[in-house]
Amino acid sequence: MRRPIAFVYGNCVFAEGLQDAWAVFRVDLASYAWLDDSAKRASFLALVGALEGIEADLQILRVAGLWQSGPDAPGLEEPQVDPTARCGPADERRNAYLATQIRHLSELHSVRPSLFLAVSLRAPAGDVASLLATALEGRPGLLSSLRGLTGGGRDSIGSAALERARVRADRVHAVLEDFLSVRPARGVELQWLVRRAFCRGLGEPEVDGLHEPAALVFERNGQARLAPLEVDVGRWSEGEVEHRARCLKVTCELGTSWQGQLVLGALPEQVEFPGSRAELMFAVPEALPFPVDISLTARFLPNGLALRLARRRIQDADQIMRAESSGEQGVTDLGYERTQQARDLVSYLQAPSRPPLLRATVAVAVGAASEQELEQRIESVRRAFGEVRLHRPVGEQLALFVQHLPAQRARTAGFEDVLTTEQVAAMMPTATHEAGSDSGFYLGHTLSGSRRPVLLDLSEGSLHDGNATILSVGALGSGKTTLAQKLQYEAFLQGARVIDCDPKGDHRFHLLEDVAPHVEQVTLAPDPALRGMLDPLRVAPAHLRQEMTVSFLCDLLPGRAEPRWETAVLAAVDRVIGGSARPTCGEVVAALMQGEEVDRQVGQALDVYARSGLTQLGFADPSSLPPAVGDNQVVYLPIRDLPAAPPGAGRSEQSQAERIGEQVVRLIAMFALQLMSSERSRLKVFSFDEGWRLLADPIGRMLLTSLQRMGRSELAVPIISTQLLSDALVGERESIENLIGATFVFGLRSHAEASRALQLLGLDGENRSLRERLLGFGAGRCLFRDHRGRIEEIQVELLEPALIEAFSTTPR
Amino acid sequence: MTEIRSYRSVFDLERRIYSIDRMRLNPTGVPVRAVVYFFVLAVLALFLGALPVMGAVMRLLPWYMRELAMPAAGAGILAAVRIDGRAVHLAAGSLLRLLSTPARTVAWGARSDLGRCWCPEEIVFIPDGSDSRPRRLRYVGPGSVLVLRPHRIQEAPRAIGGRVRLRRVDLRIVLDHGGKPLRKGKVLLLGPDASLRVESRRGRPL
Repeated sequence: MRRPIAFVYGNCVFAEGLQDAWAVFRVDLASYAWLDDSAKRASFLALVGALEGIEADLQILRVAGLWQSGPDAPGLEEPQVDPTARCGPADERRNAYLATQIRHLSELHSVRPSLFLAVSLRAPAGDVASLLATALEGRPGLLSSLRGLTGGGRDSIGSAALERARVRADRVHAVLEDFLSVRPARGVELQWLVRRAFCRGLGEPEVDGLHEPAALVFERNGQARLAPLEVDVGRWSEGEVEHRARCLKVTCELGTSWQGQLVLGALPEQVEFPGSRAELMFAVPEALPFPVDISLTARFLPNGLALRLARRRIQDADQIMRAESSGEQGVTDLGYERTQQARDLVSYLQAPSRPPLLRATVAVAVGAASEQELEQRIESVRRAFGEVRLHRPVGEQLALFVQHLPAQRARTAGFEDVLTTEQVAAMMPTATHEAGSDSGFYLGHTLSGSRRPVLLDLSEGSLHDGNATILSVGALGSGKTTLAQKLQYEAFLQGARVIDCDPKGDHRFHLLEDVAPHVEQVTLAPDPALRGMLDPLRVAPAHLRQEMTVSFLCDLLPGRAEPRWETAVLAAVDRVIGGSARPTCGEVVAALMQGEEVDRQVGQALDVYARSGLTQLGFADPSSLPPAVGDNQVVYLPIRDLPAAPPGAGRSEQSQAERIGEQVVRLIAMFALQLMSSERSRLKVFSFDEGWRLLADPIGRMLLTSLQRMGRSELAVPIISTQLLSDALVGERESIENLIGATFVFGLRSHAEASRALQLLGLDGENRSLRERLLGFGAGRCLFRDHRGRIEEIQVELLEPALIEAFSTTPR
Repeated sequence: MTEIRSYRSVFDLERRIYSIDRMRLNPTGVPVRAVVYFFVLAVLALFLGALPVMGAVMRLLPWYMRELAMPAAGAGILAAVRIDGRAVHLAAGSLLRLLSTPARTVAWGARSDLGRCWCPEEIVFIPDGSDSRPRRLRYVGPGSVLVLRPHRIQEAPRAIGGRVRLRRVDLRIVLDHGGKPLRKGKVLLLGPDASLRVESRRGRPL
């Protein structure tokens, strides 16, 4: 058998001979399943544009590697369990935690697809008419084709020809870049593509990228020529292949791989896009729990040639129909439809875009560690393809194996199908399930068959100038609190400052054995010792100080208070801020008491609040300031039974206690802001349960905006959890979108809530099937929209049993 | 929703002969492929009939059975059967190729008839420095490395607070082009699992 690859030069692969140059590109895959129809259509049109734009034979290789077990090769872009962490006091613990995650990932056997597109740099082969037309136009195609046929230049290639190939590859790259996110494949990736084919079903070969195919350089007629050392590329294919009738037994560096090669039969006559029946290169491989490789090799039929073929087919179809009509049984349905379809095809080809056709073969490669497992996997693949029949041709297994190597043409006869570019694009080879950060702690895995691991780097929003805030929404017991504690714990392991505000009192993060010594607990209660702890004049950011203080004090005044009272408060606050180096609300009350009649009345009213209940937290006495807080890495702020008005209730409908509750929430947020502003370069996490209190309140959102701003510049990450998602909140979606970086939507209990949650994610809230999926989510399952806006259905996982037990909020 | 159509039936048509001159054949026509199969089988029958032993056996049948009826029946069957979704002649071609090519290949060539892999012990190749530029190499500790060329040592790039990777290169030595060899070499001690990568500036011989 002739070697399928003769030489590799950059991303140019010379296939069977040096006349058959291809350029190989790596195409970025994108999250697809949760895109809306218009975005899916945009991806589809981009693919159609790319396929039509390259005007050459092509090969699409969608290969599935095992996640994280890939080679330590530059450029394979494997995500890493790799938090951008500061080594804090819990460094040892962090390494142990990471080791658990890495071990779990290696046992997960999750699949990570990659997509490569090989484009022939040779003009597409045509019929005699097109060859003659090329020659008459004076283009070099005919000459080079003839030279290729006679085998000229098989052994060596001139440096100029090599350079021409590279320039042509650059041109193809420029065309592809207009439509897709592509880059030239690296040498190490090409090597990986070849070597991994021999290890299919066993794992990934270790490719270090040190080996580069070489060529002998010599001179002929004063010109440099290169004679590639084919054996150099052959070194990548050193596995022993035993060719059996319906499978291959490959002895490779990782053991014995059993491989079965399948070919797709007829595609459905009509399918709807988007839909899994059309998306064969996305829906099927992503649904399978083991890796399968799919290759599509296509001969490009330019529009002119395609039209000539289609017109000939019209004649054939008409002739068949005439012959059938003269028979005893008359014209068959198929015979009649064929004549119509042939005419439809001609009209399709005469469209203004002048589309080409592709004569394509789609092959599927399955690998396993044993023959029995291979048969089981092949059965699963057949089931997954459903109505599309898969053939397993006798005697063609090796040819199909080679077809999965880069830069190859179809090697099997009888399976070619003439496809439109729409049919190929609708297979959606660029789609995948993908979400999360490129590096970070293990968060969970997608709910697709491929179980793609999802990583989360808390600081991703800050580091990429995005929104840092993380929002989690879900019903009671759906997993939000567990998620919040997991994120807090991971932040703690990274050495981050953690501020945990717990209105329900069910957090256990601060009680963990390794966390407890670093915790400072400040129980926010009506305790005189804590008086002034949340004084807005002390804790509010400078630019919000006056506004927050006036708002806090005015909200304490009775509802029927005269407007003059508010003016008096405003004036007193202004005087104190202007006159005191370290102003407090206690001083404001004192200033009011010394004023005129109205001022004194206001002062007396506020003085009552300054000495009792939760409100005393907001009135610091200048003579005895509360103790400083925030020396420890973790600050735990439990505050139970804080009164709250129902979401969406107007101010007039709120009781005094509820207004106070709202003010205390604001003060806590400001307190957190103050604690977090102390160390600029350190990662800081502020976790707030019952987050709807902040999100539904315009001032709360303003504070979150401040936190957000801090998040971008000072590595602060607010984690907001809420079980209530009000209409008002969804109505504010645009303003919230500017705040939220990543969103988790856990299981919900009602269609109305599910609809609002979907709207919050920018999905169709009216879609009943989506709502029902949300309602059916068990604990830990959620819809996750990451910092880049990609949405996936994931299962959040805690790997250590001790943490699962500690973080669970379910009573035992 | 966009409707995606297939035009397979336009291209996947089987040519049939419905009539010869004014004589109609069977109602559904005769596949052209079957006619070709018939001629091939007829020639095969003639060939087999001429063989010494096989011919004697075949001559037991009347000529019309041997040279007409049997090839016709065979052609009808072969035209009707599809193997692995393909016409019989394509499947037969694959089968013949399978039987005629070596069952085992290594690096796309037939494996040696000796039939056993020679598996030498691990061999360590160490460049002797005579190349125009040093070869890139990676070395995993423990061990010591003597560097005699002008070089720069780079530690592995670290993110904030350092990275933890499954595999990593801890140290990178980039050899400078030109320059005299060092009078006193630099010795680097590598701990267990520490990884060292040696490179030269790309494209510049020493």
